[in-house]
Amino acid sequence: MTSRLPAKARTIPAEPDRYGLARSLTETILRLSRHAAALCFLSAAVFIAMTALEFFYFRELSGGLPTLDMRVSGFTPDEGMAWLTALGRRGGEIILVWHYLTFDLVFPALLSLTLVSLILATGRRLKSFRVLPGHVQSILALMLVLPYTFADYAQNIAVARLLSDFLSANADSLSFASALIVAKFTLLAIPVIAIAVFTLASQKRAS
Amino acid sequence: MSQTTIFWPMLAHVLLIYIVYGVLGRRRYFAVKSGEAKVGQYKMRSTEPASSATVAANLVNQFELPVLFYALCLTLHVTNGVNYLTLALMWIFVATRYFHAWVHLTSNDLRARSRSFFVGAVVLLAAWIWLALHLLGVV
Repeated sequence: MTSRLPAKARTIPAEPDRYGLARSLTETILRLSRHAAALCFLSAAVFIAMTALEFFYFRELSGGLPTLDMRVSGFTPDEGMAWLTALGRRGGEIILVWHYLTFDLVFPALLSLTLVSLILATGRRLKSFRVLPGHVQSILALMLVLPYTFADYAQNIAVARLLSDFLSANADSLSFASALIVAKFTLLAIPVIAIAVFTLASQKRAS
Repeated sequence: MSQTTIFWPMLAHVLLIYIVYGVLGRRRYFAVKSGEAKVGQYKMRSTEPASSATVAANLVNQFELPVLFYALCLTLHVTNGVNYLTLALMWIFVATRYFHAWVHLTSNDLRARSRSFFVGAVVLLAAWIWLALHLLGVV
């Protein structure tokens, strides 16, 4: 006896996509270059807000001493201690709340996304970069930017700890924070230089 | 630590709501001006023109998950539970809401939108768990 039901098509189980997450991440990173302008605008807005707070508010609290974050070449333990002492408990809390827990909580991530988008946008103007597979382009961009991201967050945690636990501040912890600040700026220079080189090379090729 | 600092993320979210209202008003105005919609359409709010539909949907979103955020902020304030961790979590939540709204009002990329919603929801859940532990005296 034959069944009246239509013949069932053989079900072929779909192959599990082992690289699904990696592919999706690559696509997301590659799409960032489309938002380069918006990201630049946002990063600039946050940076301006942070700088305004630094010059119009935080320096008043510290008696004119610049925030540790701003000291590109680092600081000595004595200089760091002088800043913490000038701030006092109240000033330290204000800087924690209005710098480290607000703007600087998102700024390193935002700046990193901006740098990745700019590396991809400027890199693609060069044939040698454009011919690279998408995942290589995204890995390259991440390798240039992520060290800065980690250094910036590590530095934020180190300084925030000094501010929240004043008693933990000693020569070692202050030197560590200073080293992280110098590392942050050094690592930031790498993607910035890469973007500048890509831009100049593409301009040179165009002319 | 000052317990009133928890109100700043709340205010930042209130600002977002007003921004979305502004965008909605602008898009509806231009929808009428361009002939895409008629003023009468808004009497019953039956149909929203395509250009402002996503903004209207986003405005509704601002009164869904964020309700838990407002309740949590007020509870943290009342129970003396504001600290650096809870404040950071609340700011991260607000940042995810800004990102979510930006995506919703621009490209409306579903993947980016759902991810930002998910991150915000998880952050909020973590803060609620912290509140429970705080009330139990564990933290």
